[in-house]
Amino acid sequence: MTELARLSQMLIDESPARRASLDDLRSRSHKRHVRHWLQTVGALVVVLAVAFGAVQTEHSASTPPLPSTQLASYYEAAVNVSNSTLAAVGLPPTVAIPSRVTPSRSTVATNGVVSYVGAEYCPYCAFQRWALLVALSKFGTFTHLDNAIFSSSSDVYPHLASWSFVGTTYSSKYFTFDPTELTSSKRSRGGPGGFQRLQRMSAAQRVAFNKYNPQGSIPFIDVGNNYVTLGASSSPSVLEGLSLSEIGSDLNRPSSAVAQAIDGSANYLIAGLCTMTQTAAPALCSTSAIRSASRSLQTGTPSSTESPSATTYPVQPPTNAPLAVWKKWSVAEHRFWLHAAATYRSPNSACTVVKTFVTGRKLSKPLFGIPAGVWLWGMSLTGSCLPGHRGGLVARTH
Amino acid sequence: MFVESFDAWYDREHDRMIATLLLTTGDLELAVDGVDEACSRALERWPRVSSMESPSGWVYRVAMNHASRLARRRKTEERLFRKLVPKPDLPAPAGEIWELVASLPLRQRQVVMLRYVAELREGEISAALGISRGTVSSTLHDARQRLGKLLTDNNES
Repeated sequence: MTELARLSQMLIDESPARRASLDDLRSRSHKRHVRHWLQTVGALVVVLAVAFGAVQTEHSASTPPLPSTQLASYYEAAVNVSNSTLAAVGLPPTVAIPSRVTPSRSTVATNGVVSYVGAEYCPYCAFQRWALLVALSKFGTFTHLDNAIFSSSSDVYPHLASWSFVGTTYSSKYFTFDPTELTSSKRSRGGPGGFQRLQRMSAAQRVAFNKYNPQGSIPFIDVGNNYVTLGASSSPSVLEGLSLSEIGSDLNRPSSAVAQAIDGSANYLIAGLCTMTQTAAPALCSTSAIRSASRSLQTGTPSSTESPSATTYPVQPPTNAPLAVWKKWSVAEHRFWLHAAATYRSPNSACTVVKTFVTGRKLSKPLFGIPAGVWLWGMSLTGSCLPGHRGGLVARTH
Repeated sequence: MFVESFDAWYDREHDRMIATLLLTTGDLELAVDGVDEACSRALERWPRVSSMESPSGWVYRVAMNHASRLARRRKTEERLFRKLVPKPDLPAPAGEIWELVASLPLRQRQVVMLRYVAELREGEISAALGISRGTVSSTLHDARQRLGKLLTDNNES
């Protein structure tokens, strides 16, 4: 140990290291603080990035991304619904006519504006977006319409394919389009209706929404402070089980249920939009289908182009009539029930109709004088009544 | 109570700290970095450190911890990047002493250096290394026996 002490004393006396100055030590302290600060900030950034990534992953898990080709095809298909297709669809009885409103001084700010208020979870909004896309693309151009979504999986008409208006821009020489998606389809405690808040209505939009829609229904469409639609214009059931591209493809087949419901709704919206064009209206505004829709908007009643068989139960042919006559009758009966399903309201105000269905079966043997091989249609529904009220949902029979 | 200024303490202890760390780690770079880091921290909080029972003990503890961290980081880098950094020879007379103490386990080397080079008391060593005083005594005893045997072997060869 003596030897160790002697040698180490030599080492101390002839130190192999230069002594740092006090300024060097202070500078080292300063650098250490900066390093700690940067590490803290870096860690925070990482935590935020991970949290953001988790949110994104959760969001994308709830709304699976769709291939870009599918997006392109639905957009192209909806935008390219031809005037002849719209004319062929006409004004089906299953489509509700937008209501005419009396503009007041309080809602003057929405003159010249097409307003949409909806939410990403809402199945009725999924339907109405399609009709809006078909109608608005006749007057202008959408960009960034690529945020594909599904409506809520736990609501009526679950998981309907659509897209969100969030991030979308629309340009038209006739009017402006002001869309608001109030919430996403992601659940959030404390959010409006239990969903995560996305956007808020503009002040002008809120005034019109409250005035024309005291029940607060969505989707709400205000066509230039002249016409409004509350809820879906037809039953969203036509979209059930269909992908974006299938819906896009059906839009161009006038006989499809999708075209009947969506293109038919779009015809009324187009008629409303035509009133906002003032001069140089597109040629579409002067077609017979749109003129007919304009008349319906003015009067609030279905135009004469509607088939009368939609509102009255078709007269049954004689039992021995040819099968072709019976098949024609079956088509008319189907139209009648579709109209009934779209317009049916519970006679009891304490009950609410949630969903209506039109179902049919091909008769395998004669029934009530209807020969075998003919499709027989009927309507059923689901709903709920307040406690103590029963039977208020029963559909009237013919 | 007399409180020594940092300048005076630093002037007196710096070279001794370098020698202690150098003979503990066997690496001049680690020793210098450890001492500079510990001294910069001591300067920053000198009023508190100087009022401790053993300011030097606190600084040795910080310096050794910092040197250990640097050594671990260096090992990880070597493993990850397959980068072998050759260790420079220690300057005389450190090289001779290192040859003698290198075979001691790290804990024994630390205790021996703090006792005979840093000239800390057993109580201060116990505080500096975070071990009991009894452990310091027994470790010193074992180290002495081992060094004695090594010195005997060296002299015989």
